[in-house]
Amino acid sequence: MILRSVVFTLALLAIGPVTATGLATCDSGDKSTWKSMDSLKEKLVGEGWQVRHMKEDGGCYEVYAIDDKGSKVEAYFHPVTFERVPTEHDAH
Amino acid sequence: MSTPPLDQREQVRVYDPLVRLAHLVFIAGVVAAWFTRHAPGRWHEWVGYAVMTALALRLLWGFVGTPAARFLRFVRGPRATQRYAAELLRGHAPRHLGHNPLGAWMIVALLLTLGVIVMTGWMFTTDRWFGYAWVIRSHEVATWVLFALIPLHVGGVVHASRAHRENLVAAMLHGRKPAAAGDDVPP
Repeated sequence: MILRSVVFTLALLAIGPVTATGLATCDSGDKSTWKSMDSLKEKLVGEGWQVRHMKEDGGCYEVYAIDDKGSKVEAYFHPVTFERVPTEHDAH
Repeated sequence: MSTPPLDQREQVRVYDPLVRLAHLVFIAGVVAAWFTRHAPGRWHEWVGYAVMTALALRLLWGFVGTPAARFLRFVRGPRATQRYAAELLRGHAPRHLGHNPLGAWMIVALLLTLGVIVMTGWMFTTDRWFGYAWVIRSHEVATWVLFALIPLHVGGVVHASRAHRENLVAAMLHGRKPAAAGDDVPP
């Protein structure tokens, strides 16, 4: 019983790092070519977004925000072109 | 005075259906929430609402429920808990029909941690709190705390089951345990 629980818990922990958490990936090349996260934020805020959190994910910039239509979005942007990268979640 | 062995005692109902059902919802909910955490759609949210409902009922039940469900009956102060821990280390902790003092604090810790997880999870669904890094982080950290507590919880249950030669996992499923006798502590 205890062994089973321990094995189960370890199995759960093991899955964590293996599973890709990213919703999208970007073929964005060398980081020196990337535009800054701040400039993306500036652009989005200018378009009426309320940016809550940004980070790098899968070679993209991942943005948590309330968009210009008032929707909660977890959006991905190409760090060179700033083009929006569609994610599976966007369909929902 | 000799006390009859457990298998010759009358079986009494200790854990009521709400306590047992809530416990099952917590287990199933934690597993389901883990596996739906990146799933598209709202599965993770619905799992969260189920756990949130079970948690709210369990907390309420902790004040108005049956004796073994009530926090004020089974949660003991630091001194009583220390005394129990010392007896446990010496290998002669009394048998508690309800939760023992260490188990009680584990339950408090588990329920609080679950509370933080469902609370921060729910916040993420609101326009007011969506997207903030600290909300995500709290949700994650509380989850790791929960995953640290669960093996301790299971270990405690296994230890108490061995020490008193009774199956506490089964007792939490069907609710019955051999009646108290001798030095046993009733719920």
